[in-house]
Amino acid sequence: MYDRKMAIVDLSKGKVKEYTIPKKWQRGFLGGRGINSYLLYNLIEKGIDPFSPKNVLVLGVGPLGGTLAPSSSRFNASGLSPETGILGDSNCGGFFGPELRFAGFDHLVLRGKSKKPSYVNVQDGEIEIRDAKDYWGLDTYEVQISLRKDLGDVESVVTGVAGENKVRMACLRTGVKNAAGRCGMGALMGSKNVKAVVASGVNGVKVEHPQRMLELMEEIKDYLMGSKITPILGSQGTPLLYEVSNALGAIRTKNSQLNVWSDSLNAEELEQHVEKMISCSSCFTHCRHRNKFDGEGPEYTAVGLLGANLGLDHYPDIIKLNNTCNELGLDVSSAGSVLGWAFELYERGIIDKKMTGQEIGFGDFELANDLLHKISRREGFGDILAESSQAAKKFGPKSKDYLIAVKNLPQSDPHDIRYIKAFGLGIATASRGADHLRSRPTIEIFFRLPQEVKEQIYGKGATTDPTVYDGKAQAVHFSDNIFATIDSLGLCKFICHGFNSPHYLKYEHFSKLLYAVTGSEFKEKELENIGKRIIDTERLFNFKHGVTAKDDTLPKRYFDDPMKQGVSKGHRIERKGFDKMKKEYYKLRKWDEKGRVKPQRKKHIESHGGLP
Amino acid sequence: MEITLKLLKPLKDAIGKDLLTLEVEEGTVTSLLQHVSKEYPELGKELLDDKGGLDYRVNVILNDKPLNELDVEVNDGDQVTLFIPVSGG
Repeated sequence: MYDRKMAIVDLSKGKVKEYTIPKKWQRGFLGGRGINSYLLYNLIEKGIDPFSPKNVLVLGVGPLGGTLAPSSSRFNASGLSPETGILGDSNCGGFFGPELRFAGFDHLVLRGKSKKPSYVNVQDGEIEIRDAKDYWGLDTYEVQISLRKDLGDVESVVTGVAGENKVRMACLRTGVKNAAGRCGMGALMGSKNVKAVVASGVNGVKVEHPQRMLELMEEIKDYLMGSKITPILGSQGTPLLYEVSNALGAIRTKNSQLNVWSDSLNAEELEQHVEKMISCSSCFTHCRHRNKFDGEGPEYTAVGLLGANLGLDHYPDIIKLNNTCNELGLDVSSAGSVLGWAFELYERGIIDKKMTGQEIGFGDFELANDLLHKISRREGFGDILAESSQAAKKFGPKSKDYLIAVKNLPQSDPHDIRYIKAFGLGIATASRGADHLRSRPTIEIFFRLPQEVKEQIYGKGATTDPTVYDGKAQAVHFSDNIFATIDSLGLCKFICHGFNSPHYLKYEHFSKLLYAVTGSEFKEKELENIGKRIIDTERLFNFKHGVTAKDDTLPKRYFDDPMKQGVSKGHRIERKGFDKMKKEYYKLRKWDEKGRVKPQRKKHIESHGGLP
Repeated sequence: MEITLKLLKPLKDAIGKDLLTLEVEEGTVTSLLQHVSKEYPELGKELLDDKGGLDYRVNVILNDKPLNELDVEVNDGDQVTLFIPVSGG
């Protein structure tokens, strides 16, 4: 294992301290999300406000980041979430992660608060806190263009106007659309008076066995390109999923009051608005669109949550809302969920014009666009919506019955989980709240996967019927572990075994890639155990910040209201079945009956040591 | 009897149509899909695996019921939907 560096940037004192990342951390948590989570567990005190200078924002890249390894563009941004008050962690593609490594650092911790608007410049092993007065107030596109104009060919991760105004659902942005979208990491950066972290470096990333790496990449390229899924994602991108979810009767529509929406949002209707497909660093898949409205996207998430969830069915409107979120630095998932929630509350008379200042409701593009701008500037009713799910404090207790969120995080994707039960368990137990990217066992959608294949993937006891409760804990447990591992390596989930296909990269591939890059051997089982260790560390962090087993639950609507339309008509999550899945999941995790990590395990995790 | 076949992307791209109205003899979903694969070889390439069976990645919904077994009888007026599940964010 070779030396990798991290730095703590104390914004209050204007000082930077560099460290060599302890070998024990690299062995125990790899990097990226894993080391970020361990840092959070060590650095963030119990009971602090997420906007306190005592909170930290950690940017971290995995050991495969920025190498030839496929889709090795990812980095994680982590901190105590302003949106949820628990673990905030968001994984992001683009080109920033690799560039941070080229600049000499794998992890960067921002602590304290700058006295004036600043940005952090990381260049060829040097870190400097600089004045950002010329950049403050710019949207996410403008600031990146200005930084490049002033500094040359740099990559930056920035916060937008929403983050400057501490909108709890503000994201970090790099490039036009890439987002560390979830958990309000943009608000956290803004609260520290930081506009951007900028990286540039010419040194590349050391690869211990370059010849082996080249050979391995030839094999992996053929393996990935041989999948049916890779070319589909490369030509259609994720909007393809809309039609699939709609066919299953599982598109969150009008705040999940309905579950089927218009065919006008099928992927082929998007094609006329797409200029070309593009990719992140080192990617074969190129799953994203440059659209003809001067932006990038939309992803499936935006199609669903800014479309069906808001009662909109005209693609240009949805693309424009997507671009608005991108420019302002708003998380598409939370923004679409919170708007849909408010519209339903207004329809039901739970909130009224005295609060909103105007009539609000579904199916109104101009209104939705206007509200996104107001949220980003905390103007009028936008100031309340900017609180995300915490707006329930203003809306009143009854409003919580209609909030599609878990642990205060609005659900990330447009898939109504009442039909596929494992998806429900996944978002209920995910460490950052209602999110499909932590543990979604996507293979559950393959209805015809033979039992033995399913058991090979998910483990003994896995079942083929997605609508039963038996065997679903295994599916979520498997997915949770492997996704934590891949997030900590620096690779994208789109090529991860179990996310899109049973034929993508497995622990054996990770092991070979790690050996080629770092020269260290990691056995497959060890890599799975690292995933488990990360999940337990995040669990310890969350329990330290007030989470209990009762928070591993689902929105009331998913339990109480049967779905109304299509294939999934009549389905809901039964509480008894849900409790059974949850109990089985805790058992697989070796947590106690109250969902707590056992003392011996805590001791093991803490044995990796504090800051060197 | 008349059966409607609904294809989602990318399967519909194989033949440039998303709906097919088929006149077929009585049979099961398996026999229906074998018939379709012969009539539309380009679609057949997408549907069938190396052994000539329906690729497990292709999902089948008969009217409003997802199928995990294909030896299910089809009846006049039924709609069969075929798609490949993909995930993402």
